[in-house]
Amino acid sequence: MTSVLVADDDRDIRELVSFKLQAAGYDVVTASDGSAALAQVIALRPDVAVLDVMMPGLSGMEVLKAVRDHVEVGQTRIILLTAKAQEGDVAAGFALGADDYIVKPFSPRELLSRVQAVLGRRAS
Amino acid sequence: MTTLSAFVPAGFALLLLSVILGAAIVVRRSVRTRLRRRDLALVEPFRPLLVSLVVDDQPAPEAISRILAADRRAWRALEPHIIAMVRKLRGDGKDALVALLEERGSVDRLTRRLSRPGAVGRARAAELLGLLGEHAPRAALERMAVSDNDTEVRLVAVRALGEIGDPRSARPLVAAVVGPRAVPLRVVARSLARLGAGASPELVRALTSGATEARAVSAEILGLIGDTAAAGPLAVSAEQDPSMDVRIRSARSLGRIGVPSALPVLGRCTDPDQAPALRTVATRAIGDVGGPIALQMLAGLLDDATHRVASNAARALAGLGYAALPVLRRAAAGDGPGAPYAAEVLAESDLRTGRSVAALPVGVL
Repeated sequence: MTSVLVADDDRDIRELVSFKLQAAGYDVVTASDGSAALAQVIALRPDVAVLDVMMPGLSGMEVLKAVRDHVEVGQTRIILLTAKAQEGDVAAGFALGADDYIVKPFSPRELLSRVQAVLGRRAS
Repeated sequence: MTTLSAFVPAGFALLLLSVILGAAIVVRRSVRTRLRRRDLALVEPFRPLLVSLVVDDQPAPEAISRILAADRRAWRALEPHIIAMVRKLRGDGKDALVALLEERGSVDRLTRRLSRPGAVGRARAAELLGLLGEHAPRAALERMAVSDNDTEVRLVAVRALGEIGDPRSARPLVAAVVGPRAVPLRVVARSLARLGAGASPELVRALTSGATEARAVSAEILGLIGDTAAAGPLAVSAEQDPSMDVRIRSARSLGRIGVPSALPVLGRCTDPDQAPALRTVATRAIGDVGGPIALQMLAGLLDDATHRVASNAARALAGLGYAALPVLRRAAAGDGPGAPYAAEVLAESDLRTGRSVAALPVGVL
């Protein structure tokens, strides 16, 4: 089963995204801070990680950089979840190797489509 | 001794006051914590229902009825939680939550708060109503944006109208920048820019017949919207408006819209007898329009005696890419007044690209 890590310090967002992805048949794990997210990525090697940019501990960007530097888990697709005011960070995120980004406020349905799209890109 | 006897009771009084204040702070914090915990406990049973309401493509009617059936105490805890979720969402999920708030009477209650005496309460209600999009009482917020007694409330109402994004709010938003109760232009401009192309006809009307501030904000936003139909009225304003501020904003917007038919007007705006600020902006706007005619016009402005015009001409030429490089290189190699400006932008280009475009043989370009 395709696995997805959802990392966000906001419980509402974690629950909404997890529920949507589980309903679509994905195996979902969650993390509420950057350090836990990085540990989960290394331990579980999910196919996709949805990372909030602003998290306590390590930021989404720091997790992304660490994942990309870690050869064994470098294949995990990463989608950044960013607030509108942080849109300037998007270019930096792509430079670090992010596969896509979603701006908050967000639509769970759109997020599901983006997850499917990055997985589709990997398959092709 | 007398002094000491006066200080001792004062010291005790101060100590007592500190103890009382400290105790009040502790009690207040503990009450707040208890209330927050109680609210969280009241919300907890509804969380899965709310999540399924937001996420399911076809939410179960029982979930909606169960949330709507929450008793008054539970709803008081639930409502701020739902509003917090509304802030985080777009699309169907947000609409489902807003429908819930509407059904339960929260929207009506917030609307009633708009006419309360307290400015803080009115501003808070306006801000929350702005989140509700098409479900918000737009007309009430529009009235508030123009005529509320409190500056902060008018400002919040203007922001809320931008959040709602209905083009029909263009007229009251433009009116909000005019008169003694005016809201700062940049705040209104931000909201107007969110209304999209539907606001364009009203902005054109304000550009041609409104007060100075209304013309200024309309000129600015028409450029951001990018409606080519507005190029004609903007061209007239750039050349003829009695306000220099409006003329400058119109010239900038003509560049943003980018229609070549604006070039003759922009060219006249750069005439030496025009104000330097207008000439500077019009020069940049010519570059924004682009094309071979713009290139010729900018080449002429490169030797302009006004520093900012010549500098902007060089930068605008650099923005035109390879087509403008021969012009810049010739100017940089010559001894005309434009030589340092051309040399400067070529050097910047070298720094960016890591190679010398100025040194390339002519045939390469």
